[in-house]
This record gives sequence, C-alpha cells and structure tokens, in this order.
Amino acid sequence: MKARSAAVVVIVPALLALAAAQKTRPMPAPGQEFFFEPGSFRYYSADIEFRDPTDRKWPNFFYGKPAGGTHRYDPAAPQASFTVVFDKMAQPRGDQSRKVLGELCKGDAPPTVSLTVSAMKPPAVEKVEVDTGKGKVIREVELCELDAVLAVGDRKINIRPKASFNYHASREGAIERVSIEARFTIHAAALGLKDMPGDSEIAVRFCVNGSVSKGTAGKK
Amino acid sequence: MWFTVLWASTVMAAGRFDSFTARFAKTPDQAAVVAATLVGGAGTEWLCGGGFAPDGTVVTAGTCLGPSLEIGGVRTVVLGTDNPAPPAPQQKPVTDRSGRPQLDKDGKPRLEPFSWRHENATGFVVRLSPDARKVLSVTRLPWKSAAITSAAVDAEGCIYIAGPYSDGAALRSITSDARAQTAGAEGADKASCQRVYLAKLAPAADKALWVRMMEGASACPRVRIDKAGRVIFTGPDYRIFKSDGSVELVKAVPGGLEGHVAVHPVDGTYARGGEHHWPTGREPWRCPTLNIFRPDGQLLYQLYDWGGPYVGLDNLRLVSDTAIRGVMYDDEGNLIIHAWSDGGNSVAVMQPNDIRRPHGAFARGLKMDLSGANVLSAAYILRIETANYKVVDGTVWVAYHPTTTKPNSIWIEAFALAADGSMCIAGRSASGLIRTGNAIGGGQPAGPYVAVLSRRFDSLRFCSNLPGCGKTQVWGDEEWGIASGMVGGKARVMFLSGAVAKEAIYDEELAPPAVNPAQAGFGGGHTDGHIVVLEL
Repeated sequence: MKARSAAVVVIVPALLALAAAQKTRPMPAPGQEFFFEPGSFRYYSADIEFRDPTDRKWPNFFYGKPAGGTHRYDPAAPQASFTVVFDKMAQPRGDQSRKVLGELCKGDAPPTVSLTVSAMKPPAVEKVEVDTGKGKVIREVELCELDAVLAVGDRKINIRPKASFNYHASREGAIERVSIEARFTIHAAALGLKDMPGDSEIAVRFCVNGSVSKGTAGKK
Repeated sequence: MWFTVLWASTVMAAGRFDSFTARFAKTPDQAAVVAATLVGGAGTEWLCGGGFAPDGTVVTAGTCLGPSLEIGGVRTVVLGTDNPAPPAPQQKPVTDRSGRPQLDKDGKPRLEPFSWRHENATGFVVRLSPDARKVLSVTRLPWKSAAITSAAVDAEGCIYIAGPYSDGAALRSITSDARAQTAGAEGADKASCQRVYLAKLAPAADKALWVRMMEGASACPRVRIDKAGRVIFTGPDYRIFKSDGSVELVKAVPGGLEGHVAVHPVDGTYARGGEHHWPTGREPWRCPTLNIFRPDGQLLYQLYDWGGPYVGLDNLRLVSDTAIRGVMYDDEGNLIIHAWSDGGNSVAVMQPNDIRRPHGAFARGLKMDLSGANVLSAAYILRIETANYKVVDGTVWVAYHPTTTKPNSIWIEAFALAADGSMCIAGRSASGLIRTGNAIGGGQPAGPYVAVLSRRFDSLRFCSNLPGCGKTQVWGDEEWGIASGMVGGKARVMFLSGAVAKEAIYDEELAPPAVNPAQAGFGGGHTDGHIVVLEL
C-alpha cells in the first residue's frame, strides 16, 4: 500500500542546524560507502517515532540498530540499500492504550518496527517549513527521496519519504558516518489501527546512521 | 575570541545571582516572618510537624532523646505511665561495610545524624502563643515509648501525632481509648517500621483522646488533614480516619509506601518515583522512574522512564543523570514532583510521556536556567495534571555562585503545599542561594535553607538560609518538617527541624536564626527544635 509523503515537511531546529552545518563540513568523496551493519555502532543509533498530530494519543518511540546494507555517496547518482530494525520501545510497560500504536502492543511486547530502503534519488532543493523556536519560516534544504518499506508488526507500507543526509566527520576531517532523517505521514488504516478513524494522519519521523566502518564497533 | 566569550559569560552568570536576588528582594506576594526560634532544653530534641489552632496557637511536635525535657520554664505534662528517663544519647560513627569508621575531609569520624529511629526516641508536643514568643505547654509521651514523625492540627484545634512505637504498654497507657488495628503493606519491598500509631490529643495537649496502634510492615508514618478536613494517615497503608478514631477507608498500597510514593486523593491510583541505573557505559547512568499504578497495584503508566539507550541517542542526548526525589498529589489530584539532576541536560525539561516535546513550564516558573552549568546538583519542581499527564507548572531551582560564571548546587530535601497552595521546600545549598529581602539567616548565601514559592512556582515569596538547622532526621531520611494552616483568614506555614548551637558556613560561625524568639539561645544537648513561622 502506498502512503503519501508529506508535501510540506516540518523540520526542527536541530535538523536545520545540521543542514546548515553541512555546508561547512567536509563532504565524502564520491563513491564513499557507509555501512548499516549491526556492529557498526556500539550503542543504539536509530530511532523512529509515531505521533498523533492532534495530540489525542501519546506518541510511540522506538529505537534499534541497523541490520545490514549500504549507502554510497555520489552527488549525481547516490545509492542506498539497507535495513534498520527498531525492536525496542521506550516506556514499554503498563497500559499502552493511550499511545498511537498502543493497540499493537501485546502485553509488554511492542510490535517490531523496521525500515528497508531500496533506492534513493539525487538531492533536490525543497522548500520546507522550519520551526525556529520563534515561529515558522520557509527555508530551502536539500532532500533526497527514498524508496522504502516501513514494517510495523505484520503490516508493510511502501513509502517515499524525503530525507536529509548529513555527513559527520572527525575533528581531523575524516568522514565517519551519515545521519539520515526524514518526516512523513501515514494513515491509521495503513497500520490496521482500529482505535482511530482510518483516515487519521500519523506523523512519522526516523533517524538512522551509517558508518564508514563495516561491522566494527568503534567508540561512537 | 575565547577571552571575549569567557568575559561575556562571566558577566552574564555573575549577574544572575545579583539579578535574581534583586528580582525577589521584595515581591508583591512576599511572606511575612512571624517568628523564628529555637524550642528546646538541656536534652536533645527536634521538631517534625504540627500546625495552627483556630486561635492561632502554634502547635509543634517532635522527638526528644533525653535525658530530660524542660522547655520554656513550663511544667512538662506526661501522658500515661512514665518510664525512667534514658541516659544522654550518643552519636554513632558512620562505618563502611567492613565496620571501619568513615572520616570527614578533616580526618574526623563522621557521625550518624540523630534520628527518630534512636532507641531513646520519645515524642513530645510544645504549644506556643500565636506570635511564638511564649511557650504555653509541653507534653510528652512516656520515655522511650514512641517517637513522633508527623503531626497535624484539625479545625477544632485537636492535635494528631503519628510515629513508630517501641513500648506498646506505655503507649496504651496514655488513654483509655487505645485500640489495635490490623495493618500491613502488601509485598512491601522496604519497611522502616514494624509498629506504628496515630493518636489524637485534646487541643490543649493535656490528654490523649484515643490512640490506634498498628503492627506490620510500615513506612515512616505521616498524618495530614486534607482540604475536606479528613485525617489522612500513611504508614502501613493509606487510611482515612474519622475524628472519633474509627477508620473511614483503608487502601493497601502494593509494595508499600516506603520511598517516594503518593496516593491520588480522588481515584486511588498511586505514583512511585525514583531512579534506575543503566550499566551501559554511556550516559545517562541514573534515569528517573515515575510509575503510576492502578489501585490494585497494576502498572498503569511509565512516566519519565525512558531508559538510557534512548535518552543517549545522538539526536537526543539528554544525558544528565536525573532522579525523582519527591512525589505528592495536591487536593485536586495533580501530581507534584521534585527531581534532581547533575546538569541542565535533563529529561526533566520534557513532557513525562513525550521526550521530544519540551513542556515549556520552566519559562513560566522562576525563570532560573542552567546555562553554563558544569556537573552539579540541580532541582526541578513540576506539577503534572493527571488527565493527560502533561506538565502544567514547573521551575528550575538552583543557586548561582555570586562571583563565578556557574550555576551552583542545590538540593531539595522536603516539600509540601501550604494551605493557600504555595509550594514550600527545604534543603541545602552551595554558595549562591537566592535569598529574598526578608531572609533571616545572615552570613553567606549557602547552607540549610527554606523557601516558599507561589502556587504556580513563578514567584519566590520567601527564601532564607537557616544555619545550624536541619540537622536531624525527622521523617524518613528527611531533615525537615513542613506544616501549614489558616489563621485569621491568612495562610501560615511553619518549617520545623533540629538545630545545633552553631554551624560554620564558609568559616563563619552562625547560630540558628531568631526572630521574636521564645527562648534566648540554644538550650543544650546535641540539638534543639527550631521553627520558622511565616504568614503568606
């Protein structure tokens, strides 16, 4: 099932700062590969949240680690093919019924969420609404459209989120990792939720990291 | 460039001590100091609770350790059949796990604070005139029969005292209406007491009207009168007493009431605060827990309990260690907590059930902030509505060093609401306590303190250091008692503790503050009781 990506993406100041910082930070050399292996990071490096824009339901926060795959940096023809599994949920115990995905939690067992990216498009400049903390303004940022599948429990949803790719370097300037963040919306019906009207929007945000190190947990 | 930044930040931070001190020097809602006085004799004693009788009489209650109780030149009334007076108490050294004495920074043995747990513990009540200048009466339980850890005064002026007891026969002798009640926490993880009581005294404290005694695992007992005039007793369980000593309601709290636990006055759910540790090697190590339970003990909600791995994510990094250190409900059923953290990067700035959404309440509170803070102890006070568990009021509470760039450490050790809803706190501070213009402590702005914040935590109605005070454990591990009531249509609040003769605060020897005191100076023994009475 196709879910629509948000036409207007709301990006928090942190994302704006990252995008701004991108201009001054070293960029990877074309062909640089980033790995999404379980051992690429010593600590949890990926998270995804599901939020009711009306705030009637409490949000769900999941986190996890990459499960395999790569992203190859190339300004003209970037490639991405990786999977991230978010198998942990914050505040997993107690009554989950007031959360967006509460009805998918069975006892203290939350549903496993995963994201599989199969392709990406080159970056394109998009106008996005940015919350500066003092109000919302329209800014131009570079976003890449992803071809991906979001799985929540036994439900799989095809998505085309527009993601920011931010490359992080060591103090010496050596590229170390890529941080990919995107926001989009899906409908409650796509997840089979019965506690909400089927056309209710659910705002989703994810952030995943890839490392230049393949399967070697560093101090990151 | 760095020098410029350093200079600018130095000016900014040093200015915070001055600007906050100036801002709260004289607020429109400032409290009036009615009295501050020692209350004690040649023995060792302290105060933990009390209240105000309808005629304004100040009622204080506490525990003495002997060998005598002589206060204010008034004959001490002994309830029941007395026991021989105990010898003067000795302070025990603090030892490590191997039994070796621990030493302080000067190489002297560290001594355990005196506590209601002491074998000599004996409860007593002192009544003072409304201006607290004159001792009206002194009443004592039989020596070594029972301590007092909490007290309250009802609308008729009757006095309720509660605590653990060690001599049941002596305690029963204080009244002909002495009865045992069944009690016991279900599955209590910890229990600081095994035998506790609640007693009601006549307004003059000259006779006991009834006493109810409970055996079984219990938290340190506490009694209060709620807005509806009900007598709320917490110890082995949560129970509401009628004025005749019969029980209106008993609600067992699975796991017991030890620690930071409070029962919702309306729906019977209860909150348990604390912390847990993540041995991940990555911050945060200490994560707050604030669990809401159904009345039957089933976990309802985890609040603020995010877990280290999530909080430590690169795109979050709210890595300051944080813990919930106090929990209570107001009469409307809002949950009020105070929390500690070792820095400003704390989850306490976020909603309890939405870690990525700031609650924004700190901008409406006292407007203190932790910018520029290194590792320190900071405090937060939050009111959380319990329909949707969102923060509605909150403030950061911290000291600002007068001469450096940094926020400085502060601790809240006890908190309670005044009769008008003001937030009363007590604790200790490093250098830079923000004192109000009517502070009574003198000396450096540091050390033990008490403070009253407005109902919405956005004004500082009173704050003063109290050198020498807060030196004994009066309830649980807490060093302060807080009591409140209405006198002449105005709310009054009283801070109670145990005080030593003098305390060195940054090398300056200071005596406990005295304003319209009932006694000229320190009475003797290790500690005297001390009270500060404010009109709000």
